Parts: sequence; structure tokens; C-alpha cells
Amino acid sequence: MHGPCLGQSLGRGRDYPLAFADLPGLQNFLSGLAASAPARAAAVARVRGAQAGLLLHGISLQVPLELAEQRGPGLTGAPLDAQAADAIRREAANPLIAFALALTAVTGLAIEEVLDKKRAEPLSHSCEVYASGGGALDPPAHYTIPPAARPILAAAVFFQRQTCQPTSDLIAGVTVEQVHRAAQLAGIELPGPDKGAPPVWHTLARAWYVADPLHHGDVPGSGTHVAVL
Amino acid sequence: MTGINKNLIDTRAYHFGISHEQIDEVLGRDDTAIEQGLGPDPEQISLAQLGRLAELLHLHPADLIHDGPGPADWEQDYTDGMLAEFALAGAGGDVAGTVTMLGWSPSRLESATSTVYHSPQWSMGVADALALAAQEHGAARADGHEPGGYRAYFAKRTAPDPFDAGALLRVLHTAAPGQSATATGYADPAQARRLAAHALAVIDAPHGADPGPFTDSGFDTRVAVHPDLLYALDLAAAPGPSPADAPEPTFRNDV
Repeated sequence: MHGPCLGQSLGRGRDYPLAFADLPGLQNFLSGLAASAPARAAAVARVRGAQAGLLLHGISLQVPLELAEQRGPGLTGAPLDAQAADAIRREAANPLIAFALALTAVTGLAIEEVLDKKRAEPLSHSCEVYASGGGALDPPAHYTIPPAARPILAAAVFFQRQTCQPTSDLIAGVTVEQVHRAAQLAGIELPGPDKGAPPVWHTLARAWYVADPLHHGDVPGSGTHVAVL
Repeated sequence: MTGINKNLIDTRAYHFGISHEQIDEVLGRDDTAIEQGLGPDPEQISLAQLGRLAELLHLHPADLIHDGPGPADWEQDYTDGMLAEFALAGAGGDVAGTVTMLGWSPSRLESATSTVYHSPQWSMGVADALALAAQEHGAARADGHEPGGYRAYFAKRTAPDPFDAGALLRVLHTAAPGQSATATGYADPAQARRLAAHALAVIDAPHGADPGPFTDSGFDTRVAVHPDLLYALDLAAAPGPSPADAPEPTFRNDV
């Protein structure tokens, strides 16, 4: 991203629409936005707000129809707020088990799907995780770990580095039973298996530059916002 | 379990109109052997046979081998239905045009429209709106049904696309400063209808009013951005009137 406005980064008067190519960035943005929402309806409201906000900057954000019925961050996982993160850290002594549980909450997927089919690799940014996919219906996805759970991610990364066989996969070796038990102790509700369900919603999201931003000058809130209307 | 992807073979053969006899000929085996050969045991079909079969089905041989269970039912069953629905809406119910556009065999279109009819995902009265009748070469719009209703139904089921969003922003860009309460501008007639069908805008020009700018697609249509959208974009202080009080959207030249 360049400059204060994403829509202005291309310059005005371009040929539209133009696909937004940074899909990992889009996935990180959306998952971070939704995964920390306190409820499904709040996650949907946040995404709708993002759509409205981006449209003012000349960007159309497309998410699956009937968003509330989809699965994925903010919609099917347990809200990962400070209270939930504390409970996970308290009840799951093993940092890798704690992270697997937190990742399940963030992805909104069943723990069987997460552990059996995915690798979870931390990225350079301390709050982002790349979860490789398990097939055409389960594509690889980028997730942003909500702020409350980032200490869990940091602990898992540190712990993994200290093991005899360090690996980039933070959930390697963790079993479904371990996570189920930790979830039970921490009071975290795990999503059930949803065989045959479509991919998680934020991997289906796309964005396009569709027009020049509606504002002139800097972005709203920066002190020099002048809207067209 | 690794094996031959028989579902894919059946699906491709069906889509391309390839008969079992043609598959039989390519493989050089009788029906019983084919049935055994296309079973889950990869040892029962040779690499040469696999290559010939892949060529017939316009696939790479590796595509015919699958690991574990195949794709989920929703992907197999509904993709064609969605494509057919999209194409039929774009073609305004012109079945011949739809077949040409999709490059499908008539039987594939018939299968897809049948999916549209019978799937619970299309249970919201689509049969009445779509009103297709099966014919010898696929399906045709039944007599007495106009495509406008189907277009409106389709628009409600699909999110606005980037072109809709661009048109909407162009309307907002052309709206005069201070007109946030009405935010009117111009869009080409087809785009205006799409915006209206998505409840993003209301066609603002009564029939016979001064035409808008003349473009390649004719005179543009004057549209007003929907007040609820203006409110959602924080460009208006209040949403529009409740649906009970609001006038019905105008679909000029639509049906």
C-alpha cells in the first residue's frame, strides 16, 4: 500500500475496474477484522462497514452472498477476545496446543480440518499466519491473529524453536484430542466438522479498484478531507 | 484412496456428449472390462489407455487420478446451475444464445436448468420467474413469461459486480456538490436497470423527460443513488423512508 489512500495509490483517471492483486493482504485484513468480533452479527457489520469505507476510496470489496451463513473467521469460530485468550493460556500449558486452539477459533474451522489438512506457518509479521490448504475446497489462506491472542502465537513460535526438531509448522504433532481437552477446560466452543462446505469466506473475497476515490486530498480523518458530496 | 476419478470421467463425458461406446472404442475394451477398469483400482487400466481416455476428455492424464474422496457434492452439482443461471440472465432468456455463449451441449444445459429447478438453493420461486420449458434441444422460455421478472430475481441473488460499483461511483462523482440528499447522475440504460434492481439507485427520469447525455449505448438514464446507500456511505444524515412509505422503484423499459 502506498500513501494514505489505497484508492489513490494508482493515481486518478485509470482504466477501471482493476483487480486488487494483494489477496494475502486482503485476507489478512478481513480475517483480522472479523476474528476479533464479539459475535457473528458484529463480524458481518464490520465487513459491511469495510465495504462502505472502501467504496468511498474507489474500491469495491466483494464477499460471498449471504455472508452470515458462511463459515470462517468471525462467523463460525469462537470470539477470540482477551477473556478467551486468557482462558486458553491458563488451561493449555503446551504453547503449541494453545496456539492450535486459538487458530481453530480464528479460522472458524473444525479442529479436525485444521490439524489433519493444514500447516500453520508464522509469517514475518508477528500477527499473521499462513495456513496451507487441504484441497480445492480448502485453499490456502492467510489469517491475522487478533491482538488478544498474539502472545499465544509468539509463545508457540518461541517454543517451536526450542524443540529438538524445529519446524515451521506450528501445529505439527498436536492431536485433535489434546485440543478438544484444552477447549473443554478453557470453555471454548469448537466448530463442528462441516464436510463439503464451501471454502472459508475470506478466501472468496475479492476487491477491485472501480473508480477514483470520492474524496479529494488526504483520507477522511487526516484533517484535510473534502468529500465530493 | 488413490484411484481413477470415475465421477470426473462420467461428468466430462456427459458434458461433451461422449457416449459409453466411444469410451469403449478408445479403451479397446468391452463394457464389462470398462466397468472394471474404471473402478477404483488403478492397476486395472494401463497408462496408454489412461492417455487415450484423457485425450478424449480433453484432460491431462494426471487429472484422471484422484487422491481420497472427490470434490464435495455442491461443487459438482451447482456450478453448472449457477453458470446457466448467469448466462440465461445475460441472454435475456434466449436459449439458443445461451447455448452458444456457454459452448455447451443442449443436454448439459437441460441438466443445468433442471438443477436450477430442483435444487433447494433455488427454491425462492425461481421456477416461476425463470419459467423454462424443456424442449428437444434443451430448454426455452415458456410462453407468456417475460424475462424482466427473472432479471429482477437474478439481480437480487447476485452481489453488485465491479462494473456496478464503478457506475455507482461515477454517478456520485457527477452529482453536483451539495446534492447529497438526492445524488443524481447518469448511467447507461442497462447499467441503470442493474443499479435499480440491486436497490443501489432509483431511475429518476419519468418517461418523456429530457434525455441524458448521448453515448455509444444511447441516451444515458438519469438515476438517483438510493438514500439508504447514501446513509450507509455516511453521505446522508438519515436513511430513506421506510419501505412502506417509499415509492416503488421504477423499471422503465425493463419489462
